[in-house]
Amino acid sequence: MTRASSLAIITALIALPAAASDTPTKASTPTLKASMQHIVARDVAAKPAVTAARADRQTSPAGSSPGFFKSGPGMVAIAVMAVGTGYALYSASHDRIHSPGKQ
Amino acid sequence: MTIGSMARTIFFCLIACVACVPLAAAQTQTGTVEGKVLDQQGAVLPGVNVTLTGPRGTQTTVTDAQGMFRFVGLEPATYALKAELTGFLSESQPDIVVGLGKTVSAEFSLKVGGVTESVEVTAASTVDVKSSATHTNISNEMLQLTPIYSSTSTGLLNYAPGINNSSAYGAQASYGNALLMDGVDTRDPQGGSAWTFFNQNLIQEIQVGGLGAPAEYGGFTGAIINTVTKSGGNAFTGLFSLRYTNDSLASSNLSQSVLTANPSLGESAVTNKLMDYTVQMGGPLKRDKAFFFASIQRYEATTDPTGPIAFSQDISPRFNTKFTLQPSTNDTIVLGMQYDNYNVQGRQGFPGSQATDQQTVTEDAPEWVWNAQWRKVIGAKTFLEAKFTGYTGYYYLDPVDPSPFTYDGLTGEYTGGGGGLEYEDRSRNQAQVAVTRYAEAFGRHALKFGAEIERSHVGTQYQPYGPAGFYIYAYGGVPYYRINYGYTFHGDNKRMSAYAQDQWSAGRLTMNLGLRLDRIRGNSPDLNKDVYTPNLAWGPRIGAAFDVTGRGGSVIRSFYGRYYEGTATQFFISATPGIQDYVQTPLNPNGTVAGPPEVVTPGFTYGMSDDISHPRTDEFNVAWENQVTRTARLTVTGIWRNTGNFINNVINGSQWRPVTLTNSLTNTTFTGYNWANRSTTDQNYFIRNVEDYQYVDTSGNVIGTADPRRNYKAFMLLFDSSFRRRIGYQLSYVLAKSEGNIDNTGFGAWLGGVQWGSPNTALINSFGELTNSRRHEIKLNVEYNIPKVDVMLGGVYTAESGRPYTPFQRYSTAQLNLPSNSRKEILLEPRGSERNDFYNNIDLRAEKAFRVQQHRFGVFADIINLFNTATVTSRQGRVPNTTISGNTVLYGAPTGVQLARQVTFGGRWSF
Repeated sequence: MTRASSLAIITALIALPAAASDTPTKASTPTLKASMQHIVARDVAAKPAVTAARADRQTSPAGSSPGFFKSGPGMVAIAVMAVGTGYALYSASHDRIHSPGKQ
Repeated sequence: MTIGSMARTIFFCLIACVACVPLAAAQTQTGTVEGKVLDQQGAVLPGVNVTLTGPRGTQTTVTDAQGMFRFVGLEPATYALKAELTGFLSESQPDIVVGLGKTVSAEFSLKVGGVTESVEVTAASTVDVKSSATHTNISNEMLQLTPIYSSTSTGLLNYAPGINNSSAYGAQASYGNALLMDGVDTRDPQGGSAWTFFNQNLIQEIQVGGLGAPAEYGGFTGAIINTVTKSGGNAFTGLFSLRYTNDSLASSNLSQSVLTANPSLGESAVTNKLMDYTVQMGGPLKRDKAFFFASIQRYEATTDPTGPIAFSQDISPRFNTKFTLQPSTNDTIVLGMQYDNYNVQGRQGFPGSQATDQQTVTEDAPEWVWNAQWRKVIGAKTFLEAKFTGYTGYYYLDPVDPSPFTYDGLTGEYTGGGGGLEYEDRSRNQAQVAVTRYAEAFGRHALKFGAEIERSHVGTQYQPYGPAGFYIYAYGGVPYYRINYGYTFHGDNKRMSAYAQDQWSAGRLTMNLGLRLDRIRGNSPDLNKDVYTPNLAWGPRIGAAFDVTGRGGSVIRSFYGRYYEGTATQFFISATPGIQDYVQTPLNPNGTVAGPPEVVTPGFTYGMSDDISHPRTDEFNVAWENQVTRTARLTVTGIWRNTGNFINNVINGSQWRPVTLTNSLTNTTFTGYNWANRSTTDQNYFIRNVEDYQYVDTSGNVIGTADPRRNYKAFMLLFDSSFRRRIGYQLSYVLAKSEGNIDNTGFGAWLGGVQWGSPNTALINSFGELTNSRRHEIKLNVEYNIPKVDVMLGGVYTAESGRPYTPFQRYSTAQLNLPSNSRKEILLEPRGSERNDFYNNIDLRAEKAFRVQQHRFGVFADIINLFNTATVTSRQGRVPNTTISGNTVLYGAPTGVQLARQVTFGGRWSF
């Protein structure tokens, strides 16, 4: 039971990248506060460049573009993720030592 | 009303208050950015829009009437800060590095100008001028760019200054440290060592604290290792890495003289194969709102361990996921989960270093770790954090060959199966809630209140002689006895803690005041009662921080505080039932039972004092931290610690007869003690604070009084810089001394040890320098990117005094009338009279990077012990000799040598 549930959860989680958003969410009804936040965010992101680039440096702009997973690197990343996960899942089952004390 | 009941009443009132008042969080996983906005004339500017941009979106606030702003609950990362007001040039500060538990101060001075214009100014100081705590950070850069690797936080903390062999600032090795991962206490509830393993590639940052720790931190007498794992953000990130090595990439560094002195060192462990990969990705599920992070690792290592065992293999697949949800700008929910199973073949079994492959055990050890957090900003001045964390897991050791083994008393050989059987079950659950409230009265206050509840469980079934429960004692190949022994224990830790603290700033002075209460109970499910009921543990914390210049960048700190050890069933497990009788049954030469048992030593439970205090450490420190350049800081710290309330077992009513013993090292005689009334007091083991326990002779005269002590003093110098402009580094020098008569190695010294059971081990030569006392310690970590060729060099250099050791001699049962060998070992010189060789080591990583747009591909080589030096790290202390793997090893001969050079190759792709 525990194994089954763990595998189910893990398998579900592998699909996360596929479920991830590729595009920014459509804005909800704008409020004054939201509009101000949007303007500030736009300014920070668009201007100068130095500020936005540095702030985002660790977040890697490469992956922030819309449609990342439809790009070549995005698809390769998904493939490597799938292979690595698949082998680890196989190992979790195949290499597992079962103690007689738990049977 | 007694003082005890009054204290309990106050305690529960505090708990109730905390529960009722909606207020921040224990063991902080976040940081704070705060500051002030002024105009060019120095007048405060209220109403300025201040925006913070980070990995998971932006936050905006408006300065108050004093021109102040604050962002709380920020996960460790680099942020950008911008201040805007109509009629002024907007101003931005990029590269605001928010560390774990740090408050970063930023100040803006806006100039008159158009709103569309902007200027960029130097980022805020990285020195926290309000905190009284001194931290060392093991940054993500250090973990990724230098050749350090460990699957536990205890393995990583030794790279921090003042910590060696897991002994932090002179404290108990490993067991004295609080090991927190995303707020989960990952320690074994039995003894406090690291229980769960992690993937080092998961780590965003590690903060090594414990000096000047505020009241929110408890359950440690050494260091706090506060680890935060990576999270997803608005940008997609990925890391795919692989490490590989084998035996052909290993060197040997043993000289013939070392091998002659101790042939068993020639059988040092060899890594035949290491294959370790990680795939991980993070990113948005819904921009600014929901993020994921997933990491999968498979670790496989095949080794030829020390001794006769030729094959050992460890395969560990590990799965981590984390969701970060931001349903509103004021709410953050974090849900994290780890599952791994740890599968080992060829683990050393019962005969220890003499075990063969047939006598090894397999290990089945899965675990689940969970972590749920909710952080809420309430209004402008209140921050709430609630957590539910924990883990469950087990390790079960089963012998490869379940048949009973035979020990031959003539040859000292073990034959047959064996390996022992050990089933260990663990679980730990913790709930925490904390509230931070910012207020103003005679200055500015950051008040924090919190409560924690812990329940942890330990189950142990140990049959050292295997599933059959016995082994055969033979002599010259002829069976003589069948010997049965084993035990089964269950224990639960119950802890409730509450704390209140205030960071009270008035001008350039900040007082950090706090009080922590821990109520700890050790419960026996078998007896259905609490057997360990220590007094309430009150931990005051009083610190001061003085902003030297008034502009940040330089601070003088001082601190006094009392810390208590964490919970551990080891404190009371001997006071619960479960020890089986030791039974020795005679056998016929053909192996059949010859008659009824000749010896039956009944299993019994130890007594437990009902007036007992939990072990504690008092700390006083002073420090000066100064920003030297934009990224570099210099910290000078003086540390004094002393530890007390040691818990151990004594033998109530025991009487000791003086005997003359010979010191074989000097050929002189000294007075030892024979247990005169063993037959009537051999079940009088009693657990208590051993301070003031008196050892008496057969006439009732006092031989001596127990005076357990452990003191530490150190001067610590740290010069470090985060990785910027191609270089990062951390250089430290520590001058330190740990001394006393309670060692700071394994838990036996303070929990289940035998030292205080007799005057021989308690009083004779017991005071001196402790095993983990390194007088001098230099550590240097450097990361440097060579321009143009884009090659990254990461190096770790360690130079430190060798560890002290002491000659000892094992006397006979006839002389001392004591059970077990360890009770019969007496120090021949004052503790720590000898010292191992000075240790030098350099590990190096060289990585060539290739960049395609924002993708980075790297191939690297790690070289451990670059110059293949062979410092002796430990020596045989028993006089005149001992037997190791069948070889006679003389006193003073090497028993441990620095790891030989090993090369590991790797590659990774990150974006």
